[in-house]
Amino acid sequence: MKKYLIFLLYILVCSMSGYAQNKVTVSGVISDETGQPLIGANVVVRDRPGLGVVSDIDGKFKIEVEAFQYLVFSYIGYEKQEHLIKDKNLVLNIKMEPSKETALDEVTITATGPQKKVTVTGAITTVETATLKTPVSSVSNALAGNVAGVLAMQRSGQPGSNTSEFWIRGISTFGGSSSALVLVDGFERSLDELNIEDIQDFSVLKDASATAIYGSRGANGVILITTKRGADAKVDINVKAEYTWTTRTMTPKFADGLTYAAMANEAMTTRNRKAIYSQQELMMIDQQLDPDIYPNVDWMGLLLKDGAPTYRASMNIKGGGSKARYYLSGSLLDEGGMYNVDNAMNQYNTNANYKRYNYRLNVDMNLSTTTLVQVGIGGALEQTNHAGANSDYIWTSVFGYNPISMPVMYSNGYVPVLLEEASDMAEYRYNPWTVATQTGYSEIWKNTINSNITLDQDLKFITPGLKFVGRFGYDTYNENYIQRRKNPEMWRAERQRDSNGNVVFNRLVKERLLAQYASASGDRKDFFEAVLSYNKDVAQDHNISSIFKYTCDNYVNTSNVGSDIMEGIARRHQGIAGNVAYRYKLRYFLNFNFGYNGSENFAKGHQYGFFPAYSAAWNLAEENFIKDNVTWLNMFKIRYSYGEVGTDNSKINDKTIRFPYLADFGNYERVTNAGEELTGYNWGDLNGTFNYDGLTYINVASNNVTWEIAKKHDLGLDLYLFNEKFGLTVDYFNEKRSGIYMQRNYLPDMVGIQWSNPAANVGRVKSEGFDGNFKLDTKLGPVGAQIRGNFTYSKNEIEEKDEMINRYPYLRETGFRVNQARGLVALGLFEDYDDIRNSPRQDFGDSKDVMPGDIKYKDVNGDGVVNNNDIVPIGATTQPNLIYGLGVSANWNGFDINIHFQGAGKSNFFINGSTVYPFQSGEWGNILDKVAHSNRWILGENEDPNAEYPRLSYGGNSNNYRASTYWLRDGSYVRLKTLEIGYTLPKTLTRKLFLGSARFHFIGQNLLTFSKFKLWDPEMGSSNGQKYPLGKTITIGLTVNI
Amino acid sequence: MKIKHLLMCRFKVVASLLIAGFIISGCSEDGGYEGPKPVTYCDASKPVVFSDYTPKEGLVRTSMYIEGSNFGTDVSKIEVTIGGVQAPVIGSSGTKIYVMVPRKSNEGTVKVTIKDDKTFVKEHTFDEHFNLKTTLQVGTLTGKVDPSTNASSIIDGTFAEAEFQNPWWLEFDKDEEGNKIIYCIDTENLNALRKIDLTNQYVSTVFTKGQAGVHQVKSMTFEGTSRDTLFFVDDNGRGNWNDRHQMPNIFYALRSEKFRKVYTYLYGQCSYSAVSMNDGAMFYNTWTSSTVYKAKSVWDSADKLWDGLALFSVKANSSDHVFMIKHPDDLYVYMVGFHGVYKCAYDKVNKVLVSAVLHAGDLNGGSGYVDAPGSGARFNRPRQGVFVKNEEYVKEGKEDVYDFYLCDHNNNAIRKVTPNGEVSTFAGRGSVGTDGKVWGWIDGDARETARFREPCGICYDEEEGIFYVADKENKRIRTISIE
Repeated sequence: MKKYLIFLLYILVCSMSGYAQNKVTVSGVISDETGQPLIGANVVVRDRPGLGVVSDIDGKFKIEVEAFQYLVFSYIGYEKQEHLIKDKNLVLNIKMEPSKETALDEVTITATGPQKKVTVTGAITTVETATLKTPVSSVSNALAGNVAGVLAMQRSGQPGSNTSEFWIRGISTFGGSSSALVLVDGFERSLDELNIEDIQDFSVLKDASATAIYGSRGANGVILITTKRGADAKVDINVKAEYTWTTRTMTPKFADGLTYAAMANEAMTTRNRKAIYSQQELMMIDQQLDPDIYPNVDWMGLLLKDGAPTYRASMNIKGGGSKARYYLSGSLLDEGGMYNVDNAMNQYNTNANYKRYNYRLNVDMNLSTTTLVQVGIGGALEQTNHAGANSDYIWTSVFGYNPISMPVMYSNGYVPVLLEEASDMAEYRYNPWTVATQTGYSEIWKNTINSNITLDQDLKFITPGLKFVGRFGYDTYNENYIQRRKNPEMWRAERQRDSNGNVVFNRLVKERLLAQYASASGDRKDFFEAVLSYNKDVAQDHNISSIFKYTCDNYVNTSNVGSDIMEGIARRHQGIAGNVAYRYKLRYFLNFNFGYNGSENFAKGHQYGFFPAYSAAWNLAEENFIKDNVTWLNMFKIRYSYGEVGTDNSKINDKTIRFPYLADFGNYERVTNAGEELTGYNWGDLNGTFNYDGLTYINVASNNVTWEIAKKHDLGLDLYLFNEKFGLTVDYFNEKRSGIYMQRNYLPDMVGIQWSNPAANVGRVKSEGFDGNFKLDTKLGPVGAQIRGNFTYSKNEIEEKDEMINRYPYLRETGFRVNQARGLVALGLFEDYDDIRNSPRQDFGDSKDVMPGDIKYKDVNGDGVVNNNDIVPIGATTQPNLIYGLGVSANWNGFDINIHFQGAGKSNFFINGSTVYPFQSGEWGNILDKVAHSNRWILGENEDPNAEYPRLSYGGNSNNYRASTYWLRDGSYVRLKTLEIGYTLPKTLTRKLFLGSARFHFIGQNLLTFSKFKLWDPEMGSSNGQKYPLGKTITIGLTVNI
Repeated sequence: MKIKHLLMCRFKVVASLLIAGFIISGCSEDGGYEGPKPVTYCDASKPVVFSDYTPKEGLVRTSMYIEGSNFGTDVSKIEVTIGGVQAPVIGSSGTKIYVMVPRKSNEGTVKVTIKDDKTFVKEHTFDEHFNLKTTLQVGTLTGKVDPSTNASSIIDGTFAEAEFQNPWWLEFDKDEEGNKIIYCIDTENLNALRKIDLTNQYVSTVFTKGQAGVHQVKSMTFEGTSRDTLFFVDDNGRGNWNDRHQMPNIFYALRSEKFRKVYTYLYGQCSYSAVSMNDGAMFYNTWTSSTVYKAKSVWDSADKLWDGLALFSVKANSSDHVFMIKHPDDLYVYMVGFHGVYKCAYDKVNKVLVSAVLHAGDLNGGSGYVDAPGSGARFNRPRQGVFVKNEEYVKEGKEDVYDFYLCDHNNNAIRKVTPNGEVSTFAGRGSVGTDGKVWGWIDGDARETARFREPCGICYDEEEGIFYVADKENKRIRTISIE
């Protein structure tokens, strides 16, 4: 690192050395194509950063320069002009021409570098970075509905963990990882730590031909991000500040104390049990005559603020000359937590806060005319704060503490608690106020430093078109956690006072004095890549390009690995990849890619895999008969690609298995019929105690494990019409994964394996779908407008999985989606006892306990009994299989407006937990107000067989409370994801303020949500709503350019 | 220079805009827990109105509400007496006062006194008297416990001072001077034998484990008729027949020595309980196959010691801690164990117990809580029981006139077993709450309100009709009586 810095400084010093002096004055007027003066156009001396002026209100400029220098005139949206100044003063009137960019010039960032969109043969979505620049903490939250080909969902709104999960073209495996590869400036880095303002280009590589060059790592698609770099222009400073007020899209509202108590009584009496509260006690809850024993607390209201602020500021500076260019940025994000914590009580903050500082420095240097060195250093510093007890428990606790079991504090100052700490739920069951404010605090520091250096050497002295690029990256990450934990003594009052009228307290939790726990972890990654590329025009119309690439990477984590030797070994990959492309004019394109990868995870002989990909495209619009006749057709390109990609990710039950080809030995452990755990063998007679340790296989080697292979087809169409006013891209994709790594769980006993069974490449999944996007630019008088939309639909099906043959095919996973929802088919509620008698027996719990108002299920297999054999696939999956977005933006006279709707469909989830299953866990659990006041089945009052909720029960009901269509909810939704209104101050005004430009904006996120599901935010896919809700935010901000 | 100046100006503008933005948003919000509700006082300038009280009759500990207005919400400024006894004032909403009906308030006059923050304001006596009704009540006799740790020790003293560790087994007795005494094994394996003098309201320690030289005393019983000897049955940990002569399994102490000295009575396998019949025959049981022995039946001439005669297993091929309690008329002996009650008829002619028959509980030894006749009933670790004469049976002229009340340890209840095998819950498991908890320390109506916490020992004062319960985990001696 040090070496690089010294080198860098040396280069900078060199570039600052002086030049000879002989000055001339140049003045003139800069005007646009219509002759109107251009205000604020840049006039700089080439290669002399910082030396320059801008044109004034009348478009006039005057600059003193040395003789024989180039003056560069530039203005956003206009073509740059350069003029050589000789040794005489002169008046130079400049007429700027608008820059012309056509669809043919549009650039797509591909795996092999920037490439004109028209020449691309793979399926790649390029995202306009402006659409990502919404006030979200992570770029991942801006993906859903913005990027064709990406399915995403956000599961939590908690600062620090409010990022989205996303999948490119959906989930296509049930084996290892299904997440995409994210490359920032060519290096594998996290999307969540990235400052949105630093992003220059964002593209998503979807098919095999686009990702083949990444070999095994690209099997689930690739996201390519390049960060901004300096430009050969005057210093440009951008400052952006935003203030966001975050509320919640949907806050669960709980039933109040009296409703809760009445329902608890109903739940008991309706099942022929004794009521819990007498009329007198209900009165006492109502009038709060004895708040120690009959409290009534609105925990949610006590703990949650209406909203929380988020501050965000960022600044970047860029500039440079032809010799060296720089881009420097810094940003700050401060997300406030939503909890009401008593700041006055504590010297420290226990709220769930998240702070992030980002910085980045990108420097490009031309060492010679053919050598370019690019150095990038970026980093993020994250700080998360939360209460001493795990802050997830706050939410669990708010959902758990019913309004009438505990006061916030007993009248004698004792802190109440529901359960003894000895029980396994321990901290979960502290009351919400205690968890949030009385348990000390924790701090997490995360520190990421990314550094990379790229050498770009043009080898035209060997042969024109030959180029070498070498990249080396070194990333480190560390995380420090410190918890300062304490808690007060906690008590629970007996249900009745003693005979003297005193409350009887039992101490359930001992006081814990402030104690400290700390841990740290970290890892480092290094990455090396060498690329040799060749590009040549043969004759006039033929072009051949080729790339040959070697990569290797190394990931080391030596913290928290314990004694497991495997975990301490670096994870390494290496591979070579190549690409040969041929094109004839801009008409016919052929492309061949391959990756040859090795994985340490496989035994010798299975380590290397060769993964080819082929693609071709035909741009019909460039054919002469179209070009001459159909002028409104700008591009009509049909693409097809086929390729194979491999992955070496071996997971079993979410645990990554390293070196599955290695066997493991250990002490013989067994469990006797009596349930006694024994180690070793007992030698000799019965009742003898001669135990000897014995070695046995703990893991049997899986020698033949090798690559999981995806065979991907993609058929696409790129279309531009009417002077590129209308653009459309549609892709059909079809993918077959085979050789998915799985444990062989159904080997016959005669094989003789006792412990973990070996694994093999046995699973197969098929997935297919469509994705696409369109945009339409129009101009209505002075108003410029754009309509754009995108959609992604994907469906998968398991073709083969290691599972038992079952006489009911619907009980198998084969033939259904990955993560398919399964449950019973509900036929409504039982009307009366005759209905129960005349229906198949329901074998969940004691079938005698089934009463009218309980859920009636369909006997799918017709055997007269409803049991687990009647569970069938119902609905789809929790993750949406369809995501779409539709946006309209318009600008007029400095105002701009952007409306973006986003939706998701083909998603189902079950609801469960005590919020919707009242009293499932007895007193633990609040009931949603919407459930309490719904059309629910009430004995003698509302015996509707189609009621929304069944007959109440106290302490759970094994018949009603299980996955079935009764509890299956449709997770589809449409929401107004973004509403942005901006106003750019007129140039005349900003000039007076000495600013380049200034824009005020208002952004509303998630302002409206439309969904059939009303209990909590459907996007979270939560089955019980016990999650920090997603944010509904309102942002005001200011962007200034100097 | 000029450029520099311009840049400075721009920075100032931007900076001030940013600062303004942060100031606007910097204000904080209120919320969270704001401490207990402040109390209000009675307004002396306005009249205090007493309209009525409800209910007009009820048991001790009944919640009574006095209605009216301008009471204030500070309960320390409100005084209520019922029948001249100070009643605990628990809450006041200003218009409603919540008090608890105290003991011995039979006289029934309801009087309320209200003060403001300093002085007396108003007193009121209701015309209508409160009618106190009687009921079976659970009370607490003695046992001091540190409320914060629920800890206690073996400490002698008056009923207010005395502490118990884990009272386990009780025997009721009357000494020569006519003082009523309860002997109590404190902790399951006897850390001390405690003497609860009911007449003088004083708890003392007869001997500790070390003083007595016993191992793990599980139960005790008086000699059949004379009651001048107290036997202690010891789980000496020797389960094998071959080890039977290694340690004593029954000790005794004499009334004449105030039970202070402990002597070895028998050597044998580990035992949990013994019965001494009115005719002098003695039986004890052991772990292995839950065998019941007749004491001193076989002379081992080699070791020069008496061995027991193995009679039968309470439950074939099964072992458990079994506790034997004999019928006052020697009709039979109940064997309490295997989550049930087994009945062994007594053959008075041959002086042997005849094999055990399940009287109540699960035939397979399963636990649970069910009130039902015979094998439908379920217990969970039943322990000491006591026979109590039922006058109804006497009137009906039945042969067996005793009901059996036993401590259902893990069900936290006192159960009643009739001679016909009907099982019902006599006391405990009251005050059903949202948590479904049935254990705790709550006095009050035996079934509706009261709770025990692992009661193990029970005895009965026939003259007064009072049950005494060794409430093991509450570390207290509880009473069950009509009040």
